[in-house]
Amino acid sequence: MGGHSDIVLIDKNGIRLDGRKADELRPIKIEAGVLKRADGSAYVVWGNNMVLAAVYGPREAHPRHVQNSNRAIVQAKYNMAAFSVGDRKRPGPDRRSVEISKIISEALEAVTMTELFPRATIDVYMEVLQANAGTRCAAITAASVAMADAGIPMRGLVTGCAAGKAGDKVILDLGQEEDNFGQADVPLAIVPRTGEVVLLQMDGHLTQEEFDEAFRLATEAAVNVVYPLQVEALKRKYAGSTEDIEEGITNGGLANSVINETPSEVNADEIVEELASREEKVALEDMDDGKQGGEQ
Amino acid sequence: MMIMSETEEKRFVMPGEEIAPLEEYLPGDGAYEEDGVVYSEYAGFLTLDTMEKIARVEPVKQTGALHKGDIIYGTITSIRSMMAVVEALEIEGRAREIAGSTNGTLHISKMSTRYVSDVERVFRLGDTIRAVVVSGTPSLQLSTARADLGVVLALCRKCRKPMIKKGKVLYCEDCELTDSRPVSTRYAQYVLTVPEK
Repeated sequence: MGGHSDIVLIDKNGIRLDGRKADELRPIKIEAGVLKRADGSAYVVWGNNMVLAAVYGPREAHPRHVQNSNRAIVQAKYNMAAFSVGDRKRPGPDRRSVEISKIISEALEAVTMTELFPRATIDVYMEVLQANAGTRCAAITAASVAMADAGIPMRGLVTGCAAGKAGDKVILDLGQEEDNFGQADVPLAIVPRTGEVVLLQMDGHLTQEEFDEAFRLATEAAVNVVYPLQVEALKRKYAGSTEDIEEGITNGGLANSVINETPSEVNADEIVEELASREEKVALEDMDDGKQGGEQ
Repeated sequence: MMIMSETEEKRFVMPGEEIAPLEEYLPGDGAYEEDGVVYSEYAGFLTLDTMEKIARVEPVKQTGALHKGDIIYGTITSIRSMMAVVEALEIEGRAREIAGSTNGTLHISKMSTRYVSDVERVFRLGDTIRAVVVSGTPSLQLSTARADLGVVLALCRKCRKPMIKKGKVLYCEDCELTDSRPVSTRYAQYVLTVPEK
């Protein structure tokens, strides 16, 4: 948002920069229990985002004054690695990551049965290894799988997904350029079983109708696509799932071939042609400048 | 012929996954009820007890919450006239930090299988003990009234070095000091850091 350029985010056929349609997600891969020393962990690859989540606890909360004598507290920490963005990110907490940590803590606390562990803390650490817009959604998706992996009692899993507006169209799951040069971004997290919204933010401007459409897109994608992948990740780890999971890739599209290095059988040639034609339109310098803005 | 408690095949369920209406099953361990429906609270394996009509979910991993019967290792942090205060350090056989308060109490009546006239005759400040959990909520209550429970490491009262078991008494090799106290049959046979599986 805010950035202004001549970049064409959506072409006349309604196809986005990375070849997706308006209501299409980037390919997602989720893996549970990847870290040996943590009580629970998960790894999420969401397009070009990579997030690792680790859970410790419930354990005695320190310092003592943060303890709640009736229930546990959830302390989530979101952190971006120095190498997660184009320009080196200065390590350590900043205003943005403190805010994201706070809202993710609250979202996870909403589903955790905290009343079972008085005076305890459940620590969730999310490390963004690579950022490409939508890291908080990827992070909370990973965190929720990691908590289930740690055996923490919950009322449901939490699933994150974002929608927004770019190129005057409401679209699902904004990519880096769409985030930087688009008009709005609506990250949200829901509990798929109840439809309860546990995290909702908005950056930019949307009309009531546009917001409703963005909300519908993100919720439906979270329930129908992302949540089944979370379930699948846990089943694969613990129940020896027999279903064909094939890395948990959601739908075809260009990003698929970028991640897998195995072009999707759909239309790899067409995409290459299309990319070539787009390169004429899109000034590459613009894209490079845009990347330095980081997420939002 | 008596019919044993029948159970169905174990199903893998997610946190918040619907198990059954409350009319069919009562929520057991790892399940909760909301608006007349029983849901799972863990990612884990569901067991439907068709005889008792109870739905239970076994989580993929146990948390560090202490329950009756768990065995813990801890140190004596304070001695009162009728009890000893124990700081629980580890759970035997579970590589998880203890959830919630680690402050346990060990009442004089639960210290030994025999009569204890004075707490100091059994425990001293700084002793490492192996104890069983009598109750985990609302506060941690412990017992050492069993041969394999009690002191597993005692410190010399003069130099604070670990004492060795020599015959029936504890002996400090440096000070040549002895201490006759009842100890666990597992004296000096313990590993404080739970080995990885």
